[in-house]
Amino acid sequence: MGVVTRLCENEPNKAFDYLMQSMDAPKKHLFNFVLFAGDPKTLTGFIAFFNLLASFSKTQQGADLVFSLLNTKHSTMSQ
Amino acid sequence: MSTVFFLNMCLTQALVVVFPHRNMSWDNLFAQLRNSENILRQGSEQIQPDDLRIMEAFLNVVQHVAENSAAVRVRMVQHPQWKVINLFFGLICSRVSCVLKGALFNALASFAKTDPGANSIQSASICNDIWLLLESAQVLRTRPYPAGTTVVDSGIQYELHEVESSQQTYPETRAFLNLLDALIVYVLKKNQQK
Repeated sequence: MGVVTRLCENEPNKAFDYLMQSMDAPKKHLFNFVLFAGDPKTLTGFIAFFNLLASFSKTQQGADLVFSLLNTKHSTMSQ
Repeated sequence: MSTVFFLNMCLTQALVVVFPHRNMSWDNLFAQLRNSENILRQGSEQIQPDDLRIMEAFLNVVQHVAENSAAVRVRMVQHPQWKVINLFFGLICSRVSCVLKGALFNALASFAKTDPGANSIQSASICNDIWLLLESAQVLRTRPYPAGTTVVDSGIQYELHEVESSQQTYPETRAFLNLLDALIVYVLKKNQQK
């Protein structure tokens, strides 16, 4: 995951293309990252999750995507 | 299956596993910020340091999303429930760390950004709202205190001299200047168009 985060930080356009062009990569990377970063027991994981979203938002397409991801009503998440 | 839908589905499924009790939506995250603002305004409780760090990280997301998408910027500002500009000024006027205030100013600066292709009327409206709140909140004091009022140790001058100088880091002042820069760019563009 560090690779994806660094890519998003340093080469946001390339990171976006990389994640978009491969149908397997987005699922693998985002899923793995969320498993790691989204552990509610760890503060650092929570913050890392937000940091990835921020890094991913450095292009217009990335920003639009992050906005749409968090704008969807995930009713099951609040159960 | 569109890519956005695919990614959306992946993230949703992942979050169901990892965040069983957390609702990672803008609605909920802004509601949490509003709740924190209410707590701070009442003065009954302090925000925990861990919560402050999460708030800073979330504001960093808001900043980047708003900075890089004019459409998202307008949708965030015009959302009837979120009221982000008022919310952010409410937090800025609370007793929170200079780092958090810096994150709030940077997020406001991203809302004030004016892109060449963006809707100029909407950009103007956002910049005017921010400027008016900046004036009325007296973040940078430009009017003398009314007679008979107690002078409060707050505001950006106080924090620059008393807090940031001693720590030798200037997150709030730098972010405030960033906001002024964004607002002044808008004013200059407007004057050039006349």
